[in-house]
Amino acid sequence: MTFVRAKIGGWVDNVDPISAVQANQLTVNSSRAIDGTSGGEYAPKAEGPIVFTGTQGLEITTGNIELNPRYVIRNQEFEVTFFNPGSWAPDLGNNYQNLVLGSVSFPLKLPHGQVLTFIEARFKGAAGHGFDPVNLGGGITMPRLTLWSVDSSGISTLILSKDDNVIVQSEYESFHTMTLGIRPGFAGVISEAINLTIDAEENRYVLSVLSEGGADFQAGSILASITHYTTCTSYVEH
Amino acid sequence: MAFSRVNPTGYTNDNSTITAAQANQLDINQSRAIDGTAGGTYTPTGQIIISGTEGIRYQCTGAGANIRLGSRVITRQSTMSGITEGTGTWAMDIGMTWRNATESATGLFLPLDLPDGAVLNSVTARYIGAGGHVTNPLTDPGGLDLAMPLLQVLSVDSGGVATVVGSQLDTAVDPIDYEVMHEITASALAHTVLREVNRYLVRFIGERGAEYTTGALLTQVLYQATVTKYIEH
Repeated sequence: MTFVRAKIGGWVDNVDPISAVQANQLTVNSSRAIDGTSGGEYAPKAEGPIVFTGTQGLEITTGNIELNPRYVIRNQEFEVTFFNPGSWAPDLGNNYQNLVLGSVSFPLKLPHGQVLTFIEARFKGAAGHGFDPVNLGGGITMPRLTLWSVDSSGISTLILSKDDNVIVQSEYESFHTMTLGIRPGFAGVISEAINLTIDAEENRYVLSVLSEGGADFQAGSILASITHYTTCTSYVEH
Repeated sequence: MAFSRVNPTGYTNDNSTITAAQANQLDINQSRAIDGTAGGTYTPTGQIIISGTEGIRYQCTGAGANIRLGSRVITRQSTMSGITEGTGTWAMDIGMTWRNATESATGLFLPLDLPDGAVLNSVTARYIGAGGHVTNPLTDPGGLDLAMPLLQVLSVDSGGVATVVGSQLDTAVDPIDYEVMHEITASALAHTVLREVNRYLVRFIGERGAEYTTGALLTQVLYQATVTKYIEH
């Protein structure tokens, strides 16, 4: 709650003593106030949060409000334009269905200055594969996620690529998760980490999904979602 | 850093004296404290950290309805998702770069995700003309050999009416400049973005004319805007 004056109306010289209650209130209030000069850490309790009302509010002159590092998880809109026309098609619900061997690319909307950590795609292989497991000599090449950075000249730089690693046909033909990077909270090898600081001023970022291929190719795989995990340490303007 | 009590055990009536040191500390503390009533400008030498579970709730209205930012210019890339105005005029290349396929006066539409309330300063297309042009300069006096690519920034209202916020013809003057990556910038737009009522997009029309050559690339579209506040979304 907000502070109130220790003595409404104020003290008068040689008239009003400062009582112990008043003095204590002054010191308690002072110890709870936010130090605008040196900063400090504050943990508002049950009376909180700190509420700003009125029309003036806060202004941050330079920089941005920092956040304790946190994973921000967002589903990516499927704003797709085909690199291989006819290889994938949206179904009802805007899932993407694979028709023939080929890739489909999705632009990623990522927050400038933050760190992209992990991407996962929910994917279901088409039914009817003749072999099990599908990625160990089963007659198909596995679907692949590839993260690209694209610069001003249109040059794509490979950030990271990884194949679907499901090894059992029944799992492959059910919805499962394809991953890129190291899932937050899990151990992983450095070579599989993304850890990409996003430069949304100079680059744009694209995730391409290459379909399965090979002799045992089956049409009808479905890509249902793409989710990215970003370590955010500040608000960004946009 | 956070203030501490000047007398941790507290004062007792008729039994305590406020020392000069304590009074001075109180005075210094209050002079440093953030004034939640009258406001003020503060330049902390350390971070102000809000921890715990309660945090800050911001329910200001009017000009202060969003946390304000010192005026700054941001640059952001477009995703390059889009659609062609005419069938087959542009096609997506690897890396989601647009490649011009056929000569057409119709455009490529690329939606712009602009921050509401910001002032749009400029929109830039990064473009590589196809190789093989002969005439030099492309912008010959008659302008007959090649109509240069055109960048338009459009605002579209609820009735579907498109208004040109700004536009810019490619000003490259010879094939050496034109056939490498260069920028086409619609500048000095000074347009306040109103996302509640409008959507925004780029309309890009490729080169045309007697010396038309297929294969130009539109590699990036980016904007610069002056922002003065955080927005909710």
